[in-house]
Amino acid sequence: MSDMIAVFGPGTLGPIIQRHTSKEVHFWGNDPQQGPDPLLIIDATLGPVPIKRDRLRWVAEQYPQTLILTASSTVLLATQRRWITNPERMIGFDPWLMQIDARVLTVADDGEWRLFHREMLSQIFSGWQWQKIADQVGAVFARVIAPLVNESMAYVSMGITHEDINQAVKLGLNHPKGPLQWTEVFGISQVGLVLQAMHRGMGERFLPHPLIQRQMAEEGVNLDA
Amino acid sequence: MMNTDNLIIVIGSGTMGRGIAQVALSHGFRVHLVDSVQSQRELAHKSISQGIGRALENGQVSPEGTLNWSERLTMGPDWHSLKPSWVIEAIPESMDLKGPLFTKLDEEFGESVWLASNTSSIALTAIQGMATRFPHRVGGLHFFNPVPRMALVEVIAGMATAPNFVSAAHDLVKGWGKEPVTVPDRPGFLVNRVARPYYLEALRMVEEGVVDYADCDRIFEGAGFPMGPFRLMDLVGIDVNFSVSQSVFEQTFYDPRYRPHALQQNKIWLGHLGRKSKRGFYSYE
Repeated sequence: MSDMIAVFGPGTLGPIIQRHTSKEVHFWGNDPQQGPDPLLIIDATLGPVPIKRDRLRWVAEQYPQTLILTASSTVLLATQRRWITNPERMIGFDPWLMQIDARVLTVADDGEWRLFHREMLSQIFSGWQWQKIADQVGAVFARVIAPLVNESMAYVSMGITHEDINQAVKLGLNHPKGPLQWTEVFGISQVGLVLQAMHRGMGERFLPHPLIQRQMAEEGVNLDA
Repeated sequence: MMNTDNLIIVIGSGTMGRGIAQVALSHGFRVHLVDSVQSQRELAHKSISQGIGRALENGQVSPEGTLNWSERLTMGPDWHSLKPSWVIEAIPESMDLKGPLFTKLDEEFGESVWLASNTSSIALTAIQGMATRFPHRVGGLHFFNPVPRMALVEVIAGMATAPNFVSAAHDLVKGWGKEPVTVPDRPGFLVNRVARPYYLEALRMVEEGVVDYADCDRIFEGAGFPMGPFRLMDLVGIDVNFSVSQSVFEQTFYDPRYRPHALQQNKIWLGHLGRKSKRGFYSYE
């Protein structure tokens, strides 16, 4: 096994992860690649689910011993573990917190947050605290941020400018970013994927706003695509 | 034509009313602060005096703007015979109180006087409906607490509000160093509406056992939010936060997105309202 971390998902993640580790970070783009066994594989993709499943199956077969940190904000960790061999090596996380380089990152694991996993992540990364949460779509951060964006879309459709919406939320609530600035970081279609997953799992209130649905359609993005 | 003598009548001398008065006085305006209770007026005077003193010390207002502020402040139980350019209402959030007040203001003041409500949750169009003579000069100026420190003012146009109300409101609050944003007259306006998931989803996650409240705060504070949802609810007041959710929920004809949470209701029943009662989600003993 090499001393390298392999990442696939949003392009901004590579440099952020590299800042937190002395290990070499290989950014694979959107698709995993062949090579020596990495120490850790990070799958930060949210969907579509069939593509995520195929990639993870391929990764699991190609690298049967490697620990996998997988985005579990759109698909339960429990579901993803059923896709692969040696499922106990898989940990769920919310990639959005990693993308904004938050101080605390959330992870989903077995009922008891495995000591081995916790120690390994702490050894590999410095400056990040790991907070175990229950395995649920939306995790914690995305569960709040995606609906904030969804709410703001109603104002966009009424002709309120992005600038005014962001300004109002930042000044009125002291949020670090306005709702539409979050979409600049994560991508509106990715917000739509989180909303779709929560809509499916937790009810009507997460139905993506028509503007988000349209954007997803234009980009050909869908949780089930 | 608008009256240009820089007189603002502020009705209600609670936290918001006195804050609005302080800001106007700090920018050279004359203010008449209305409250039927003399002891409240005295408290407001003291608070404004302290607030202006602190703001001067901290360089947040200019000595020129605040010059002779106490001579520009009058107070009383009513407003009769005054000729203001603006009347800003800041009384408790009750349509039973605001409705009759706006009927009276509309009857007593000429068309050139702008009438604004500092409501945070009542539909402006409903308030306009109580001002049947000149509803077009009625709109919303939603200041945020604490008024002297919070830059944002939501300018709300009801269905009948004239466009020049909006432009006059922008000019007024910009002159007070504020940042106006025009928002539609929909339940919660903009900020309180967009903010609902921050509180409601956090409450639901705690109930579902996804995370506990302290860890939830830690996650959001670690992501750059100055306060996590639970610490913020304690600061704002769990009862205040609950009543905003309830108001938005009712005004959206019970849209489940805004359904208030039982955990907040339970805290209110126990008197655990947040910092002000020394106990909310956290203890402040």
